[in-house]
Amino acid sequence: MGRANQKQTMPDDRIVELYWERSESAISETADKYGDYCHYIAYNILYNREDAEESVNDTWLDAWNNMPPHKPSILSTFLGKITRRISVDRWRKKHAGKRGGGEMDLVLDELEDCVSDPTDIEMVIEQQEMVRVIREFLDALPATERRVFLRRYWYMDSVAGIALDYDLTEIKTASMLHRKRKKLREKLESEGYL
Amino acid sequence: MKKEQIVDMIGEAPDNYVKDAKEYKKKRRIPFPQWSKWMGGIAAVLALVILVNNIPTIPLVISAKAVSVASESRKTERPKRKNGGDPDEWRSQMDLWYAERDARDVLVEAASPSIADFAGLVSGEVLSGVDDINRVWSPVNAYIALAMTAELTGSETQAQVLDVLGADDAAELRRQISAVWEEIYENNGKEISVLANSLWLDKDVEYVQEKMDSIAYDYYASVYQGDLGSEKTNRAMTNWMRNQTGGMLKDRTGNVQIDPEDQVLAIASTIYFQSKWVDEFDKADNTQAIFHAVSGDVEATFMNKEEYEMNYNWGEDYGAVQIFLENGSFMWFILPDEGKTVDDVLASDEYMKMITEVYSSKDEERNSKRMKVNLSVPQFDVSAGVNLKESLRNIGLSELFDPAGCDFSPSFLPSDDFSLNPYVASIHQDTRVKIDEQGVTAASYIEIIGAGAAEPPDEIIDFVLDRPFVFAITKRDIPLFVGTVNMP
Repeated sequence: MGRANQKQTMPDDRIVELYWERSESAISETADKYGDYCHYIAYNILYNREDAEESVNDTWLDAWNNMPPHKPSILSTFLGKITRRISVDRWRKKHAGKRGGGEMDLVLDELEDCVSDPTDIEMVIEQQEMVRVIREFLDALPATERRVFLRRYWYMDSVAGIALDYDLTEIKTASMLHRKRKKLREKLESEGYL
Repeated sequence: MKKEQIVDMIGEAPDNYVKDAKEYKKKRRIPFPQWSKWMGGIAAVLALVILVNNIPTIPLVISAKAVSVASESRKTERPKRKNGGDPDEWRSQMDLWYAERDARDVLVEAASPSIADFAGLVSGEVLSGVDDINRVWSPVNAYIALAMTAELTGSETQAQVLDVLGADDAAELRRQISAVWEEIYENNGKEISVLANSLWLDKDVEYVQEKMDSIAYDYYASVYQGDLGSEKTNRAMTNWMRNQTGGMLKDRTGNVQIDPEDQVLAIASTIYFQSKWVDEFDKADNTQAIFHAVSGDVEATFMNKEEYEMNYNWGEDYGAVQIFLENGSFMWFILPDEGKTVDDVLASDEYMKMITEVYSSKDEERNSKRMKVNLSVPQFDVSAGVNLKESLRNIGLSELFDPAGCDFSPSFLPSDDFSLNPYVASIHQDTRVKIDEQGVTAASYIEIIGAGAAEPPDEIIDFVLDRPFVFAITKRDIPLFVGTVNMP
């Protein structure tokens, strides 16, 4: 029951193989399976349908150029990270110095809580250090709080949407996020980055 | 730290957490998806990366009796997805295709370590030399030609061949060779990679038809019979080889000469390979620069790529990069460290493991790192002829070359005339590999006549192949070609 309507998709390892075999089907299979997912990430950041579509198309090209050599163990996140990076870059180019609406402006406002005073000397954090710091920070969070944090600041989902999905009130969600931002700031301070 | 950096840092969250956060939520409606527009974009992307090659066509005229004709590829063609076609039907066809491919993969994976061991052992023998001579050979081509002799021989002769090939028994080897042949086979307009074999019998040899049919089916080899050593049959062999190697070995195969005396059996085996770089070199970036050959400096044309993102690999005595060719083949450039020579690289099996364990090893097990590389590769057109007989003797193969001890009795009927009892008089292989801005062309034919290392730095590195180096072409962990460039 219901199976006939279920969209059949190719297993991830098969899709990765298609990329390694330089098969044209790799991109159409990826689009079938992860098009929605990548579009959702891009749209949350860019808040513009055409820009989101361009980011998603750029994601396929980037994936094609990176497999091989990469053999991602979690294809969805591999693609999602590309979409997120491309979309954030696109947002920055488009909105340099001005607000563009959507969750990205709000997210950046919220993340002000985590950063240093503008008058402080800016500490540069290397990429490898970023990976370690964020992993340690997330490791220390309970599962629900970690999910809520990532839904807001990785996927740039709206607070209302997260609250709905997790059966929380918006106030409770916002308060949870506020506490986590504070915690991240403490972590960065203790590491000497603020 | 700025808030933008925090955005980037959160972007580095571990994959499993990111996945978990998304999957935990209820299904969400996507704002305004427009699939048709996306697909238009995808088609445009593909048009940029798919390039077309054509194999040169040379007419095949064989003036010898065809005893058994080589099987064509039995590999099912990958089902094509048609616009507007039923995606579920296509996927079920793909499932079948995958099942066949998986069964082949098991055999190729089983064969791969043995081919790599054989390639490592013999490469040391045929490629060593700190001098100005370029050397190249095709391990898989020789391996398959030798496997054919295992099929044709019996008793101790067969046991020795199997031992050298690292195979447990002839039946298993036969299955593996079929799989390897199919795995390498590609002639789809994008990439050409064709192994072809042929067995030539003297007109007086009485053969076992069943064996000849097995050679045709399992080894994709044609079996011909003629007056071996005559001008007519030499010309037929020449024609066959030229046909199989796209005319690339014209000079070398232009004059097959088999001594009419005592020759009753010849095996000719060729490989033709042509592919494009995934990212072509730009001719405008070429430079004339010095290559430090052993005998002194020479000028060469170098192809260059600046800050090219690629895998940098390292071993005890070398650094290496791999360039991707269409359809997933790799070309490897292995540069001995300063103060080391190509012989130091070839003396260890480390480089061979590196090039033949890409698919079977995990990323973290490899001395490999994604880096930005300023790459400089001299254009080269390397051709070499090697007689593998001595090299094979050195690694323990002797019976095959012994007129008194060689046992071909399973395939050929005994003859009162002792001179008609077959043995292998020589195994000759000619190979040519040529690279330019667009890609690689390589051909090889083999003729058997029966008669310390530290992790590299994190920044951009220069990888300049301006001194003798080792190169290789691999496909699915099978070494197709290995060679040295001592003088580009």
